[in-house]
Amino acid sequence: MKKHYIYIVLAVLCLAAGISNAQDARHRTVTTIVADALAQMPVQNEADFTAEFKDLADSAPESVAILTGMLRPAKDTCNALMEYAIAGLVRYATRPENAKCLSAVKEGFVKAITNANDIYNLQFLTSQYRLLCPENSPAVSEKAVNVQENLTKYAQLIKSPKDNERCQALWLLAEAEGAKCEPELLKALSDPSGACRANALIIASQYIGESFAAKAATKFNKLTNDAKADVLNYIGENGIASQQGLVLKNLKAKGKLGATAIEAASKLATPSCATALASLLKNKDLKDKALEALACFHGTIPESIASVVKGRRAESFKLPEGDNEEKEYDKIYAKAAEAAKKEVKTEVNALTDEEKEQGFELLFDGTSMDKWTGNLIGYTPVDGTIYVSAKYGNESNLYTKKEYRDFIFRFEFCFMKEGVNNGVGVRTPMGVDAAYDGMCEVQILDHDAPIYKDLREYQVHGSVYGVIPAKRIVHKPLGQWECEEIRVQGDHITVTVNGEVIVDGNIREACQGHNVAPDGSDENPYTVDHRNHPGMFNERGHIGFLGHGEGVKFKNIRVLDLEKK
Amino acid sequence: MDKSRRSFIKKSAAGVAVATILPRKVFGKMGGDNNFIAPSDQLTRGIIGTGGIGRSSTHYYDDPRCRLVAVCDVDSDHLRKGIDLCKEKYGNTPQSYTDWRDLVADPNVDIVHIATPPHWHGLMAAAAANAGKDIWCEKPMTRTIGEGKKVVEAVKRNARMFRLNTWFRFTDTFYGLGTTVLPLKKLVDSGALGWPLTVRISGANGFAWKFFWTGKTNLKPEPVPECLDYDMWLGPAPYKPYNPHRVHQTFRGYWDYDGGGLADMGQHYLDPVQYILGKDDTFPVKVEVDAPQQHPDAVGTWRSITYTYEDGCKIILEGEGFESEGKVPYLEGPNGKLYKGFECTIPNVAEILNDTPDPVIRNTDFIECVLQRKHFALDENIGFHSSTIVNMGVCALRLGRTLNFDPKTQRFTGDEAANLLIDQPMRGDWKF
Repeated sequence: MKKHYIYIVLAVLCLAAGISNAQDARHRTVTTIVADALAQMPVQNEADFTAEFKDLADSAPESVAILTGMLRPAKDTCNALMEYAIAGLVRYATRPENAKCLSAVKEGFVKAITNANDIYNLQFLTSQYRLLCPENSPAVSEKAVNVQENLTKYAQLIKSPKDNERCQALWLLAEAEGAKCEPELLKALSDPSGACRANALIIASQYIGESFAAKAATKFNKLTNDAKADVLNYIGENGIASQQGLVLKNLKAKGKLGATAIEAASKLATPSCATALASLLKNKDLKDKALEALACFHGTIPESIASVVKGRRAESFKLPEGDNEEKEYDKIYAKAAEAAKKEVKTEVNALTDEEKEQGFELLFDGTSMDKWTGNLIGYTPVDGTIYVSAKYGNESNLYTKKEYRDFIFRFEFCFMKEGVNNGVGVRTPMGVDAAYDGMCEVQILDHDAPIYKDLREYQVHGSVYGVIPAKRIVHKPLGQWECEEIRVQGDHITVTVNGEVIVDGNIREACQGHNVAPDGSDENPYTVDHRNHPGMFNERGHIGFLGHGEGVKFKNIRVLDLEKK
Repeated sequence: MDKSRRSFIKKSAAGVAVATILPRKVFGKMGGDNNFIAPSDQLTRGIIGTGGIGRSSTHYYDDPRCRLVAVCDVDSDHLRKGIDLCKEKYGNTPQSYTDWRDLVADPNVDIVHIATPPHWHGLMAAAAANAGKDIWCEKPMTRTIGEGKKVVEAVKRNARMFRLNTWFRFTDTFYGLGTTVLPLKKLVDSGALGWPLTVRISGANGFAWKFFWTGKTNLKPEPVPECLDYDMWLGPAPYKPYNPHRVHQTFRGYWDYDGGGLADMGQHYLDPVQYILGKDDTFPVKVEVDAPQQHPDAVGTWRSITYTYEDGCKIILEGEGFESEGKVPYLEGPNGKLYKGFECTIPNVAEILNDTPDPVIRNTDFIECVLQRKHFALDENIGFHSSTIVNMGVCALRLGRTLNFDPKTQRFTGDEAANLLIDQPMRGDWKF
């Protein structure tokens, strides 16, 4: 896991060619910035988000070109990492405080959309681009009312046999004429459809106000009982106390009219209403409704019946006994949850019989991390594996508590997403960069990921980083477990993956004995990466996992301490 | 439901003669008993979407006042199951459609049930209203805030009755909280806890956020099965290559169609809170999220979402696995706290509730509401307000930042990208 490789390679190239590439403070090219960011997708919190996307945004439009260029046709591969990055870039760029980078990001998108050749990716880019362009968003304007058009439509629709069309007609009229439509609204109170009457009253409350109730009251007796009920309901809902007389007159009416009047009295909540409702408590047909109305009464209730009302209110405060029966929804959800659970199985961690005989020690049994120290937050036991969510950094690594000199270290690893970057530190102190200050780092990398298409040979999976290139293997598909063995004896190191030996070399010979530059400088001509490796000949040290981002998990980690032989 | 009461008979003035000629099938028995209710007295309904929820007892309910006469689905397997279930339960074969617009236009159908994934709810509800139908709509009411506004407008203009399919504000134990909503409302109305209040919706209080509704970012395109009309399933949603995980229940994991556990359970959990706080006519002014970066297509998980109202009331959602430690109040005010099981720090709480008027909860029987033309207790307006709480959370998650909302204009302030999520483009010819 190294960020410095491109620096070295390109710095050398630049010196040679005399050109300067766009580089950030860490001297990274845009390609590296993109690759590094992709390895962190998806970002887990606000702080990381700002850090990762600032670099990407600042290197737009090139960063956009590289990212969008990596999108493959949907049928071929998974674009998830790039999709996270592209969408995240849009999120970042549309923050008001980041307005400066907006035009460069937009420029990148325009080019990408022009060059897109896969229809689904084009659709994705277009939908993201849309969010970048506030000046193109449709204006929020109130539709201007065309009075004549409304009146024509009104005249036509008001005669319709469909009640919803007559309702539409009333709204069109109200929009066109405002309070002037009062006569038509009053006429609508005689409409046979409750929907139309209700709509007329809603329009009246919006456009006319309380005075409408008084007008309605004058033609009250000509209305049907249902229409009368609608008017009383309107009076109650809108708190039109001036018309309480009409309500009280109808308290004892039969059927819906009387029931509505009682409800309206409760809503008006005037003292007269309270008294009137109280008197109904003696009426055997109406006492239940009256009591209910008084229980909801938002006003003063006559003392004489207050206790009765309180008793009724106590009933409504009843806590349920026992459990609810399982609802239909819950059954469906339970099935889905079961199905989701089935996809995850707990991994088994165990020594083979042969390993037990040889004296291997299981370093992780599936649940306990007690043989490990360091970043126990970024490396956690999950379903029988050690699950990595650690970020890059010397404080972010996991180390064995014990130190080893000569050993055989075996483990299994699984890449869950593209571009995973980790490593095994060998004979390393804690809290340093094992690749240089430990004996070495054995690279763990999903080198098949498109973002690593320009990888150097000593960066491929299994390499003794910067010192001995590994034979390049083809990884198993994402989600499948692979096994690895690292055998260290003296200066000799052997790396075997999925049964194939990919490194078998002597680290001292690989640099001709010069782990650091003989002239004391920073450039060491004897190592493949031309860096100093001061820790290369450490006698002993911890074994570590050197994390860089989510997406890898480990299991079956065991070690044979060869010193104890 | 009062089954013995004969309902108000719906008549239209000049159209009576025409209406009785139209073929309404006559059925001898309803619900297995001998009470014969003549077809002209009955309402009828049609269900769009006969999948998992569509075929549940919410839509295939037992109520002789409303007969199931039509079903529609774009998956012929689901459609067949919907037809068979109707035959089994009610003894009749319903009219079956593959294009929902035909069901909405069917003069035989009075009430349209919408049990499709959420990306269809807005278009279908508005179309049904414009066709003069009443509507029973699944939650979340709409996928975007803009669609919600359009549904409210269409339902209002046509004076239709709309029922959103959530009900906890007026009945049933409120999930794992160990109480119904009624005493919570009374407690808040009494003022005993003080103001403003903070509500905490968390696994610690008995509310699960169903994080298993997450999407996959590595879907490989697969051939569309014979039985599914994928183009019609997608409708206004962007065209993405078919994969079984996109459809049929797991669609909940994709922003194009839904919003994960937040959108699935959000209205059930949040609508009663909106009611308890008396905020049916307003919206939060701020939403903050703490979550990992969300994928543009697949819904992920989140750690917490916090809504703040203008008067300081807050609603805090805690994600699964990120619940606060220990005993956590559900309601918290300056003068008291309320915990799971109606445990309250105010000693004389029962007496206080006695002195407080009961909240008014009327019109909780939708069939009655349709017949009486009364607004259902959880109508389109209320539903729009609580679904907007959910949807502003979705916008904040997708953009990964705090958003400020203006309740008057119903738009986000100072964030144009967020406003571009209010009205989202529809594919092809689909529009309101």
